[in-house]
Amino acid sequence: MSLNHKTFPQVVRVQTKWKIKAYSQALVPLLILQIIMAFLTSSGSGTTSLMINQVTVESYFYSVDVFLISTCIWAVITAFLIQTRGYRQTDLSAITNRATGNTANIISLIFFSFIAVIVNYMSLYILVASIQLIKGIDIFPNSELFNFMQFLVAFFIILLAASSGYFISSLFNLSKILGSLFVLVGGFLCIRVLDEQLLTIVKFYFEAGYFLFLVKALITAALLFALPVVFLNGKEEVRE
Amino acid sequence: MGITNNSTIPIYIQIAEWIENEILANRIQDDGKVFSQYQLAEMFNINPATAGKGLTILLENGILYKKRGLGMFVQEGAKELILAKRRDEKLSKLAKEIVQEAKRLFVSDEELLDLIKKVQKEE
Amino acid sequence: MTDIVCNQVEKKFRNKKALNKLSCSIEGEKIIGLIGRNGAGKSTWLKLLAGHLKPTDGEIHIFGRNPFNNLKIATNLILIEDSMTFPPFFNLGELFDMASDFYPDWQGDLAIRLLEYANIPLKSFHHNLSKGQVSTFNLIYGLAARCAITLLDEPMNGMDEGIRTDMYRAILKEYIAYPRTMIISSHHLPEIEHLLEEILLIDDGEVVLHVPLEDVNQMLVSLKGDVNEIKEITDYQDVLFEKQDAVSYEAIIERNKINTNYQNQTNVQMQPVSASEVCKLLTHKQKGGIDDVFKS
Repeated sequence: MSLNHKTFPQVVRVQTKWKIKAYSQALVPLLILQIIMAFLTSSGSGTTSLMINQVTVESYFYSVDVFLISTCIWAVITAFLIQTRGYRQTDLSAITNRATGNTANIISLIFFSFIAVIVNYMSLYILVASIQLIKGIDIFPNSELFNFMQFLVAFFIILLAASSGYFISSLFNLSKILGSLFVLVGGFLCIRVLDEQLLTIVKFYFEAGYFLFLVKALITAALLFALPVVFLNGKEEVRE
Repeated sequence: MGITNNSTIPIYIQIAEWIENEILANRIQDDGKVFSQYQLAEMFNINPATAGKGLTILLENGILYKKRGLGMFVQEGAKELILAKRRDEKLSKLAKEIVQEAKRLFVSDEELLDLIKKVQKEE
Repeated sequence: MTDIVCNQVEKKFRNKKALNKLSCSIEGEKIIGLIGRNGAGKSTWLKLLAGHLKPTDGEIHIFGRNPFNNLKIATNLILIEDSMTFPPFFNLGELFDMASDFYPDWQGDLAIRLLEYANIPLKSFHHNLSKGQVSTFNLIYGLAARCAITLLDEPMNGMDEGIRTDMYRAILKEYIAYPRTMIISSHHLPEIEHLLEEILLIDDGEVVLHVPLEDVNQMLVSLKGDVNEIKEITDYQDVLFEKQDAVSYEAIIERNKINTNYQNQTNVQMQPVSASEVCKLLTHKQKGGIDDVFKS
């Protein structure tokens, strides 16, 4: 009876492959959500109106922002769900340990966030194209149709949302009390008390331009993803 | 093939006896190969280790010998050995019973021996 | 080389102590029956071996390592229990595909054929199966993985008579094809006895007995007859069980505690005690059995 040996990377790779296969079903709600949002917001992400000598010009702005918020909500929820007990327990029916399970979850989330950005862009193009076709309105591209930096920014915003959902879910995993406290207290503070501080935070991230935002977002997301791997490492995982 | 769990005889002994019966019936010849513990396990639906114990007993009693890497084989003269052993066992068992029964019926030792001689003459 | 070693293992949950200084060692490939009453600690111990739980005290070493959170152990150990779950989006066939990716020795063909034999469609989903089908699938999954250490926690729960016999046979055949260390926990010792090499009897979180099967069968004897004669045969030692009814007196005691000289001269009937009865008696609290509850 010789023993088999699987390394950490090998296990993570197989787990990630099968998690992505399994959770692809989560993408379908996203797509449906996008389409619905597209129809609801055909007035775009911003409008301006200019009137000169009885001539009125109404402009509507379209950008990826339209879908970004709904996508972020989706990302938070998906990340949260992936980390819940039900799904984590299914890991036990194959080869796993806490670290590989968490890492595989994280990589899957990064993958899905990437798909989400692409879907967002696709939806935007479809929306714009259909408006042109259906309503016959002329569309003037403001900048090039695809801006790599904007793409990255959108991707990292979604990643931040996903990592937050993942972190909160992990807190709940560690201790229900801690998780609830965090959400309640955090939520309360954000809404009521910390208006100024929130503003500072937002400024911190978005003030200094795209590139610095990417760096800050990357570090934050990395932290939010990595911490649970550490603090969940010694936790028991049982099937009830 | 009749190995039962319900018998008072341990299964590994039943296995040993079954193999002995096969030898007595000439189904396995001298120097012939005996079933392995795994084959026996599959045939009788028991754990291989249990079957192995049965084989070990026969090995210890000189009925089988082992060829390294090839399995267990029937010792020459095993048949006679088995017959002798069974004769002894059975007769001793019967003898014990007669003596006990005689005691219960208050028959003396001499009376019992006379009875046996009488039966021997008749047979 | 001892594969599994437990040293004074304790496991405390909030309101109870499931395992209490449990020590044992298991060596080599064999099928071991894990026997014990409900709540004795069998499932908890298996979960500890699988590394799902951590002991609150004591140590467990599997192949020399602590199984908790250990990838090497997880690769070579599988725990099959009622409550195991699978990713809900995959049907049974896809679960088999997934398993073949994980387990290097996975027997895909065998798994598919066994499932077919059990009349369970590959396209069904785990959460839609009946209780018996769940147990059957889980067992097939566990056997096909061919892990060096295979732990089966009451694998036959819910299976009907027919499929149960077949599954016992499947376990034996797979074991013969690829011997491994198997621990099967069960309430029904008579059903499973023929498969076992050793018995590990657990009661109140401790190991009461860990011996080869034959030893258990020979361990106790039952004496029936006149109470005084029996008392003499047993030299007035403590018995594990006694019952006086209208006809006769019965006592059960360890075989080695009997004075064999008396045996032949009396009308006392001596009979062996089955392994299952032995286990029951060794974990029993009262000497007279349930009849005692109804006394007075």
